[in-house]
Amino acid sequence: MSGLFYGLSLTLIQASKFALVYAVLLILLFLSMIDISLFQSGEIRQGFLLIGLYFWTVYRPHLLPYPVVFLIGILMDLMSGGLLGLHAFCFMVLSIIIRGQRRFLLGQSWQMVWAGFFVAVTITQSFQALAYAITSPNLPSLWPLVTNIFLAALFYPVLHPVFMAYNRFLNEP
Amino acid sequence: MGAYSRRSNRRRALRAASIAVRYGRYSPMILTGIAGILLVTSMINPDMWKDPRVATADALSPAVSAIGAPFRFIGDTVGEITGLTQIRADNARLKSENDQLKEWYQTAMLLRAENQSLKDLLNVLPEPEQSYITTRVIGDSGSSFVRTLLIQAGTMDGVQEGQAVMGSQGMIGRIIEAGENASRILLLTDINSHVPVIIEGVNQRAILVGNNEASPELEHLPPDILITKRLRIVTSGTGGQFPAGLPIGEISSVVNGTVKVKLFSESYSAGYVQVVEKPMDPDVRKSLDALRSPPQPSQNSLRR
Repeated sequence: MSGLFYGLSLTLIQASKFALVYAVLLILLFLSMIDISLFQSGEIRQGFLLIGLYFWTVYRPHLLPYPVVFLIGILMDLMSGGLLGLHAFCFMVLSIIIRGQRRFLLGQSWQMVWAGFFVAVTITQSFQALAYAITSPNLPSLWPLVTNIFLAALFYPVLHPVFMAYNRFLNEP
Repeated sequence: MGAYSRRSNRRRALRAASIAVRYGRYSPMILTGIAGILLVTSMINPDMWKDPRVATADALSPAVSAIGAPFRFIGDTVGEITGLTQIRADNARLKSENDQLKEWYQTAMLLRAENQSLKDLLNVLPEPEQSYITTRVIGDSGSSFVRTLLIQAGTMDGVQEGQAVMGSQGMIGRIIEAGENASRILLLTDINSHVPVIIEGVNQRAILVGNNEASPELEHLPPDILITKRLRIVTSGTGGQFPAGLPIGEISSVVNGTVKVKLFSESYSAGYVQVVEKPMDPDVRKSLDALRSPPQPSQNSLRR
C-alpha cells in the first residue's frame, strides 16, 4: 500500500514539474501582451512566447504536441486582436521545421541553438509583416520588422539558461 | 466463438492504432491547414471573428490584469527611483511654466467672456456636454504590426464602439471592440486608423493616417497649402463620429509633401485613459439627467 502511495506521489511530482512548463508558457503569452512600463517597446516582448515555444520544441517536443502549439497560437491571435490564425499558422510551421531540425540542434552549442532561434523569429516576423502588408491599405515600414527580429533574438540568451536549468531539473527523479 | 471475439478485438485495436498513427502523421498538416483557412477568412473579412475575440478578451482580462499587476508595480517603482534625480529639474521647470500659465489663465478668462458674449449675441446653440469614462489600460496587442490597447471597461460601464479615447494630453485612438468588461482601442498610430482632423491656424481639413510608427501622417491635403511645424491638429468632427476639437498633436515635420504629426499623448505611457462618451441629443441628455437621482458623478469619474 505504501508503495502505491510512493508511486502516486512520484507521478504527481513529475506531473506538476511538467505542468509548470505550460504555466510558464501561459505567463509568457500574457506577458507579451501586458502593458508594462519596463518594456515600453512592444518589440522586446514579441519574442517572449516564441522563446518558450522554440526551446521546449527543441529540448522536449513531447511536451508541446501539435494541437497544443495550435491552441497557443489561436489564443494569442484572439488576445492580440490581430488576424485570427496568423500566430497559429506561424507557430505550426515553425514547430514542423524545428522538429525536423532538432536532432541537428541538440548536438550543437547553445550559440547555434540561438542562431536557430534567430532564423525562427525572422521567419515568424517576416510572415506577419507580409500578412499585414497584404491586408493594410498602406505598406508597413520595414523598420519595426528589423527591430522586432533583433530585439527578440537579443532577449533569447536571458531565458535560455533558465529553461536549460529547468530542463535538467525535469530529468531528475 | 471466443477465438472469433479475440480476433475481432485485435483487429479493432489494430485499426485504432493505425488511425492514431495516421492522425499523428497528418495532424500537423491538418492543423496548419485549419490555421491557414482561419487566416485567409480573417484577411478577407476582419470582422468575421470579432465575437470570439471580444469574448476571449472579456474572459481573460482579469487574468491579464492580475499577471500584469506585479510587473506594473515593479515598473512603477523602478520608474520612481530612477526618476528621483529628474524630479528637481522638473520642479524648477514646472514653477516657471506655472508662472507663465497664470498669465495665460487671465488671458483665457478674458477670451472666454468675450466668446460667450459673442455667442449670446449670435444665438449659437451650445455644444452638448462631454462626459468621460476613466479606466486602466491592462494590455496591448503585443505586436508592432497591430497597434491596439486593451482597457478594463466595457459596455457595462458605458463604453461603445466608435468612441474616442483620450490619453493624458490628447486623443490616442478609438474603441473598435467593446465587450462587457473589456474593450479594445485602435490607436491613431495603427496603419488602419483614419481620423478626420483640422489643422488649426490654416483651418485646413485633412485625414490623419496611422503608419505603425510613432508619428502618423496627414493625407488629402491640397498641394499648394503652406504648412509649418508646430501647428496644432484637432479632430474636425466630420462624420459625427468624434466630437470636434479634441486635441491630437502638432505637426513635427514637413518633408517632400509628407506631413508627420507628433501626438500629444504617447500611447505606451497611457496607464489610464478616458473614453469620451458620444454626444447625445441635448434634450435627451437633460431628461436622462433629470431621471438620475441622486445625481451620479459621471464626469471624470475614476473607475478602478
